[in-house]
Amino acid sequence: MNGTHSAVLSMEGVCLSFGAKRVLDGLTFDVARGECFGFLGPSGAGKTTTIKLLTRQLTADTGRIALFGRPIENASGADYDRIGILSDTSALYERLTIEENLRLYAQVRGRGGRGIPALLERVGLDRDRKTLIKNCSKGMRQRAALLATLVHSPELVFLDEPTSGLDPAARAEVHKMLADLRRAGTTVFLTTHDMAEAESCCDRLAILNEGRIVTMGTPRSLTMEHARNRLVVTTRTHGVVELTKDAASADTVRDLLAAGEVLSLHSDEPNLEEVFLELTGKEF
Amino acid sequence: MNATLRRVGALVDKDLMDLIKNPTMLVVLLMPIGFMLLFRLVIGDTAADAGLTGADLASVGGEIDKFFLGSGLCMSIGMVASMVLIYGIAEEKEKHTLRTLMLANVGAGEVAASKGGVALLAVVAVGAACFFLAGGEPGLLPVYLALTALGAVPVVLISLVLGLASRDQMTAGFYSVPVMLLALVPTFGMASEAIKTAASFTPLGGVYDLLGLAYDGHLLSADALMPLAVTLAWAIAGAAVFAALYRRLARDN
Repeated sequence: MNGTHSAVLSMEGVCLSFGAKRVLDGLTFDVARGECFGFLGPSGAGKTTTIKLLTRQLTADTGRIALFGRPIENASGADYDRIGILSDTSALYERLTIEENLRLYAQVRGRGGRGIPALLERVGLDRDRKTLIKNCSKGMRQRAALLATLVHSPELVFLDEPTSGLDPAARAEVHKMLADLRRAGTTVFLTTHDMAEAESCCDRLAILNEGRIVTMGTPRSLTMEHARNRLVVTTRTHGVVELTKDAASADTVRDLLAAGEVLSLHSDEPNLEEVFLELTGKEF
Repeated sequence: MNATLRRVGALVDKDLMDLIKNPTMLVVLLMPIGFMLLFRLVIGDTAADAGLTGADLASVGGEIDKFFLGSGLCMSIGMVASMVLIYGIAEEKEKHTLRTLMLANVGAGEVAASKGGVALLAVVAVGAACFFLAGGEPGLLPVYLALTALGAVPVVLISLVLGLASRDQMTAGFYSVPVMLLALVPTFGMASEAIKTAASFTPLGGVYDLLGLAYDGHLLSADALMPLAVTLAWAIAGAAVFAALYRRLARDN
């Protein structure tokens, strides 16, 4: 674990079983203040279960979990007022308007409703504020649910697949909100299936498979770590030439360059999706 | 404490708004009122058509008035409290709004306090409408409303527990019907002495009998002790059931 003392959130050796089935096996990671930490994994890998442990909806069998530097068992109601949780089943009241729902959550969290118009405007829902939730599209509902999660300006936000099932436009709106959160210095714990989302939104990622973290790092480091030992050179007269990264290839590249043959030269690194597939062996 | 009061206040606002905007719940609120209208039309006409006069008419009329008032009380409590609470909580569980609230640091006790309070308010409001439809004397209204609120306490507590126990609205239907029927038992007391005696010991039997005594001007008499004891016993039993099961049930699906 790095910098546990400054970590907003940490897990160390956490295990959880449902009956005979071990669903989380020795999870260890920490999330620093202001960081956007992505948790990737195929369905059933344990992402939502991890969020449930971190938000005390479940209790771990073994291991340590800390929230704001304190053991989670000692977390107070005031600590929970510093966090926001958007779960995969978060829902607002269908017979109330977007604004009425937000006002409810603002009051529950001890905030006045003065900031609500600005929040609605920021995500393009200001003109729909009087729309009943039951008449909203899925994208509008998700944005409204996200606003309800953020209405009290939490320091730490858990987002469980916030863009799942959304169309590209609605997904882009949620990504914009995520970018705003990062700029504001909010710590974000994000689970997602979307590799592009993980790559663009997260500072660091952990890939979870069958309850275990199989790799962790920045998106760039993960792709570099799994880079193939290969150079791809596109030449004028010999087409595409694939070379291994060794001393002999260096001579070949030098010769091609000297001959003016090289049109392009790049290393063949996998994207995050390929890393994910390589590590988990699963589609997502 | 302040935070709890703030959260309960916000939830009460939401529950009131949601109650008013929910067509199903509006039907539930109108059901006792509709039944009272029906009773007035059918039973009122029957008494008049029977050709009773003088003292007989006064005596029968008094019993009919007591039946109307008692029925209004039982229907208000039985229908409104059970349906508003059991269905209301079950719907919140089914649609995940309860979970979302609890993830926003709202406690199950705060949800129960808000829903119980709003249900009690709805019972009293519907009870007042039934009182006037039953032709109650305005002077009797404060006692009627006080008895309605007192009688609603055990039903509200038991309905809260059943609401928390319901996984979805289908289960809510299964749980709410017995509560409603049990609440209506005192209204069948006119059928026979045996039923009347048995009905006196049901959750609303005590307040039904107290209302009859209040109508006759005997509320502050020794006759009121037994029904009062029954009423308080049910209130205590409801609180005990709530206290015993609340922690076990106060979690989302």
